[in-house]
Amino acid sequence: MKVTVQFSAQLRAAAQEAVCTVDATEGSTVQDVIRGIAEEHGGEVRSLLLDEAGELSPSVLIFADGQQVLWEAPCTVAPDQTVIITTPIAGG
Amino acid sequence: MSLGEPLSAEERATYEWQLDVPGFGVEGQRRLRDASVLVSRLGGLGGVVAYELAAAGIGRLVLAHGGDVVPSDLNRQLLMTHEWLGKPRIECATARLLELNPRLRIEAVGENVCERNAERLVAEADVIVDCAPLFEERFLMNREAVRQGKPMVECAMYELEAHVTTIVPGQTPCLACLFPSDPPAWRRRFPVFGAVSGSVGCLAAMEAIKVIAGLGEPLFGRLLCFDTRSMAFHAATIRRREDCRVCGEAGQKGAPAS
Ligand SMILES: [Zn+2]
Repeated sequence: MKVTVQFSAQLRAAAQEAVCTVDATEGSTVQDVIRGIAEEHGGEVRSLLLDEAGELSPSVLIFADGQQVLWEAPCTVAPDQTVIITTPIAGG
Repeated sequence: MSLGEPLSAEERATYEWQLDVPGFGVEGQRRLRDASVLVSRLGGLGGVVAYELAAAGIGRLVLAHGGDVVPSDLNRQLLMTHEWLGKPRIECATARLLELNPRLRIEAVGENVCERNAERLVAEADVIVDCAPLFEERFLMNREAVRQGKPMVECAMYELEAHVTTIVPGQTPCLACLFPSDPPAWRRRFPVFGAVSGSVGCLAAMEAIKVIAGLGEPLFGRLLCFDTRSMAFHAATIRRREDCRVCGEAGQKGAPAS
């Protein structure tokens, strides 16, 4: 199934794209999708999404259907869902 | 100007166009006049917050910003002017705000929020608007706002994007709920147009006005995200963490928090 993922803030700059479409298997979670994106892009995208131990970085914000998804709470993706990922920003 | 005094003729004349806003009125105006707001850093974001609050008739501003005006401030820091290059930002900002609103009382602090002053600065205010460009300062204000039970408008931008939410300790997620680990990728220098930081500043000022005057629906438990590249705005529900190091049980029991 197709899942649309939107990148914002530094992640968008690192990925050099604002949106991508991921082919996710039935039953996979938002967290699986994001881990897959980190591995596929590698480099700066990976370092923004994963910590040194390769775990999902807890300070990256994820939203699906207007609700925040916490890293530690697996959330199954739905077909045609849009997932938004944003990195922490503090510009003043 | 003591608490609860009626509006003066000058105040009525100055604010008559906003007194007409339904749900605001004379009572809302008096609440603004009797309130103190801490704005930390008066850059592209905080300068606009302070200016809008001064225009709206806030009674008192506690302002913290160190350093002197440099040329690269002037693309966005609307309280700073060319004439003040090389002179203290806090003095320039204070002069500009008083030009607009001479009734305004200002506590001007010529340094940024730090471990030494955070508790006192937050204690001076009814509402905090966090406009600092470093997470270290933001986390300090968040910790003190939670400890002292003060609402804090949390606003930030990067490039053409921005985030705004309003924190009410004990009710909504706090900044450490949103970002439980230090954001290592954040760098002090960020790409910015003044029109973006200024837009966020206007929204943050509106949140502060709403919280103080009891107007509308502030962004409690919601994070407004917008991207001026596409002009896409969305507000998402954000989650409080029970194990938050600041507002969770561990934080509230006085465990070390940062
Ligand atoms: Zn918290």
